[in-house]
Amino acid sequence: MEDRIYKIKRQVEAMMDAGVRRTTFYPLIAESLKETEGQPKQIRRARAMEYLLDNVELEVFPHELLGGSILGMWPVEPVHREYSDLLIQAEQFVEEYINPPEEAQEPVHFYGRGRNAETSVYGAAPMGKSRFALMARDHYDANVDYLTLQKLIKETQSKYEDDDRIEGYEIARVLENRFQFDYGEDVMKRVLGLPWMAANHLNLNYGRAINTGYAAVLEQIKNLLEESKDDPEKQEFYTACKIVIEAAIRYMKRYAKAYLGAAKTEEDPVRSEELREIAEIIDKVSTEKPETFREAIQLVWLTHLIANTGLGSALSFAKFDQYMYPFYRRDIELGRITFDEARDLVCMLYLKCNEPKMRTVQSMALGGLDAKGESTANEFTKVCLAAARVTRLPYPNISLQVSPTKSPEWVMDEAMETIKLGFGMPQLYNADAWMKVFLDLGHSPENACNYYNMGCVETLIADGSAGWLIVPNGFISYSQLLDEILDEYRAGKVRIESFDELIELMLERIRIAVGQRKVSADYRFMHTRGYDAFGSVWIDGCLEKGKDMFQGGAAIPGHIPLTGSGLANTADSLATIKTLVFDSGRYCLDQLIDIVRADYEGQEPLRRYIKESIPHYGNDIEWVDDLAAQMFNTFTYAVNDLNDGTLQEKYVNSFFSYTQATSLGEVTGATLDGRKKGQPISDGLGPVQGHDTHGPTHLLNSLLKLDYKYLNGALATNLKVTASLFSTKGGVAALKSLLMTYLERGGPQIQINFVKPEELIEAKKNPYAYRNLVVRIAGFCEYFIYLDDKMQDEIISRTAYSTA
Amino acid sequence: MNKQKEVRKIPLDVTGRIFDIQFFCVHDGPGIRTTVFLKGCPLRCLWCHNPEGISSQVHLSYSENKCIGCGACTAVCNVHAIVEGKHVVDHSRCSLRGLCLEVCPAGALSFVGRDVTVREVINDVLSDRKYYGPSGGGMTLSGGEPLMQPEFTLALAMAAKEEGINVAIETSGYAPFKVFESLIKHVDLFLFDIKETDPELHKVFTNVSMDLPMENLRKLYQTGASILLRCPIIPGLNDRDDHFEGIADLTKEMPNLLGVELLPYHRLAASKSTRMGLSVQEEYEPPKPGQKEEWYRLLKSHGAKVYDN
Repeated sequence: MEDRIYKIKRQVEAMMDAGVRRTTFYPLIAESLKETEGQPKQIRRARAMEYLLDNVELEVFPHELLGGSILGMWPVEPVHREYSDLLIQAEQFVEEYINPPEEAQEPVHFYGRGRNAETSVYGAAPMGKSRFALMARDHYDANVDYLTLQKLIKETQSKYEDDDRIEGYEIARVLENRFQFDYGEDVMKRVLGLPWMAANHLNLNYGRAINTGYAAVLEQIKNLLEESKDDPEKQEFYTACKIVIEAAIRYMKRYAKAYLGAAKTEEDPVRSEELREIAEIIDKVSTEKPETFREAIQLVWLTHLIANTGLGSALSFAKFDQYMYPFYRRDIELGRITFDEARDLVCMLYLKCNEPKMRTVQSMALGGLDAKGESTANEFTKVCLAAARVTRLPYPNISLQVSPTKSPEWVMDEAMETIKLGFGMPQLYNADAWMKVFLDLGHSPENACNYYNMGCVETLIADGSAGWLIVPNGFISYSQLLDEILDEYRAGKVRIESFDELIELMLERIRIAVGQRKVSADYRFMHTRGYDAFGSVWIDGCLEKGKDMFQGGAAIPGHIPLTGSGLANTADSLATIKTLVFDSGRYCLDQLIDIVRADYEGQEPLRRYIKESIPHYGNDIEWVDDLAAQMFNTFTYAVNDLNDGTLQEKYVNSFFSYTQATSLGEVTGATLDGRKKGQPISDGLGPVQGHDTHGPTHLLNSLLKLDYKYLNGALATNLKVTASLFSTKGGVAALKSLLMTYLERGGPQIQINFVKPEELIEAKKNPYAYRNLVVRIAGFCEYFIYLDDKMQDEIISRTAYSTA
Repeated sequence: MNKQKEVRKIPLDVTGRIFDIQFFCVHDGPGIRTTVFLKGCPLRCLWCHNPEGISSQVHLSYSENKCIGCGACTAVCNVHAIVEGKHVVDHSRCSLRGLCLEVCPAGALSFVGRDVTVREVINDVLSDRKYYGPSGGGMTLSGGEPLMQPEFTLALAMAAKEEGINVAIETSGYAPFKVFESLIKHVDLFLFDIKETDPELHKVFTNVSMDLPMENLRKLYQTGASILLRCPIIPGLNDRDDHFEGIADLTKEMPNLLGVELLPYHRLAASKSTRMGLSVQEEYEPPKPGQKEEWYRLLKSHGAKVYDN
């Protein structure tokens, strides 16, 4: 059976390498929207999804036992352009950017990156200037292959290297924006004019789906329609729900027929029988409630797939081992399935998640505690981890919730078995700590225990939340704050006579910056303009309230993250100021400001002195760690203070930066920690890259000095170790107790990375020889070869501790 | 009351000379350990993997890869010169004034070896205390040869024990037995090096006779101390069948030994020697992948008790 898994894995990789894909999504949606002009938005949205599900192509692939694929919506587009032509075009795009022709219009893209307007709030991270597609997966609608694009960017950058009119990152941004398919202005304007929103950055309650079934939920919707005759708003919502659920059932039935058709033409009788079986299962679960494990996992997949047809990003399986366990246990008891058979089906689900054009970041949370605080890890948790050990793929992004007090010993042992394979999974969540922060945030025990890593490491309550609610300027850059203070000092607006005064100013500025992000009670979150009836059916609360999830239907308050970035750069910069200005008096503050604003031009010895000789955060050095802790604690306390009851939603703290350590670094000027302009900024709560020289225990000692009382949004703690640590049983045991000690001491989240630097350098030169290399980046994993050049360098540059 | 008296007896102000303290060591005894490297060694092993620990003297170390060629050091001391763009260090003229260290912006210059008190070392060791208990780890004294500084080593061991920290000592065994005797009740584990089991080759490889270490091993064994044999294996020198047999014989003679751990040769030492201006070591072929497992198989075939870590 494992042989079949590897065949499917190769098949999925071939799908990724097959070339660029032009979607039929936009034209189909636009066709429907043309027909429904004049009707209510909510209904048009539902009709458009119905039209899509009724007309989208259906793909059937060899070997698979779980049926259904997104790829029917994304046919491969043959590309005939020569590289040399592309290079000429790249240069044209750049020239047009530098000298925009009169009346030039940017093409309309679904995933366009808007630019930040000038902002008056403190500490706004320069998000609008930065680029986004640092990974193949983020490069939506690309009309050139990612590796080709990387080559184009590199060559074009070198051509403009000495040109002051444009920066390297701008070239990358221009090219990633312009090498996209043009679906026609009419089509895109129609789709974006709706506006098109899909439930994302959350999970849908798949547990309810497999315990209810589609026919029963349809029945429920029909009853609700009947009961709410006098309420036109509810009528409209339930009508939309009815349209999409009926469409979903028809889509599944259509898929059942497709498999039956394939069974008829299949020459191999064994495979033909398999296809027939897939068809029967899909046909059954399209309406009926699943009975067996296999039926349940098939329906989970189909529901996930249907949600994926709506585009959008992060969508999670949430606590998969909990809602699947009863099906697994029953089948085991009845002798209908074995551990290995279940593992293989789970492998197939994982493989499906990795097919191209599935949502960016699909996650899964295992283990954890129940409302009473007892461990919920079960036999099926083991199945899920065993499956990950077989597939070793970026998706799903698996977290394991470990309670240092309640989890049985085997949970950590299973974790270590998986971690030691080196593909970065699972990341570990401290089950005790997270349950506590969610109780403190005001969630009920039933909800507080039901949390999951929504995408990467953003943590949310499952099944009934409106998701991760982004507000303008939600990224607060510590380096920006310090820069602003130094600017004001130069302008004579503030006085800095002592280091304590500077710290006080900084902390005060953090409080103000956080306060400035508070939104008013009538604030409309960006996504509340939209509708997604299908998502709403599977988000608890919406059917009961008769409201779309985007219109306030969700039962559980959503979380509004405020994200701190560049903590370590700023702690180390302050250490530089303290050492050189206030302790030794070797420099005056003005001099240091001049030097850093000139990007250390002619000051390489000083820059090296800062990097080599000034104490840094991350080495268990009390006074520097204290600088970081003060800035961290002030931030998190201030964010928590925003939860004053004005909003139903909850503000949460995030110190997670996805790919922004690289992308924000590109647009951030030099900093006083010795970082030159354009270099990556520090990642999450981690130290400045290379500044942690005292090994993993001292890094964790530093991290454990932060007060995690209000760390209730997201963080990614990366622990990099060398592969040799895993060469002995003693090494693995030592790492296990290192992790356990961190968790016991209240550390909220940690993940291990241990690829060999020399292997990464080789993989950069020779990508296809390292096709399978999966690395952990921030809160997520990705194929190394599908990362942008800069991201690859950043991964290589991170410290890997050696062990004596 | 008794405990109070004990504390007072531990001489926390005794100083010793060390060249490094490393945290999160997982191959120097059980669990997560902090290893203190003491300076000075009576042996001269051909393959020495810590050449900075050989001499008891403090000396200057220069890392070429950190140097930015700014020349600041040449202005303060004539040990340094920039010749044709290359930094040249004349170690023989260095009088350890340390002026160059102060002016070097890049951290390319440092002294190997510093004098520290027991208190200072124990404070560093305690910073990782939370990791020791759960992992069965603690402090390891290594070197150099820790038993060359008997007073300091004893005080470190006593101070660690007083704090309830597990103590391991890595030794070549080359010291008067009375030093071992003084340590026995403060040390949880001796990592006893067996470099070679052929007497003549031992002298060639290490420059000392194996009589003293072997005698000490047997005496120490008699006291009931916990001992693990650690055997560096250098391809071409001691990866011989008769040596593996010799090691196996020791474990048969002393069945209560914890077992044998093999330490395959690595090449990191060569660059360390260059940095300190020490004579360049001969380089040996590093073991091939799978070689270590093969050596363990050989060792087991002779009936040795292997320490499985």
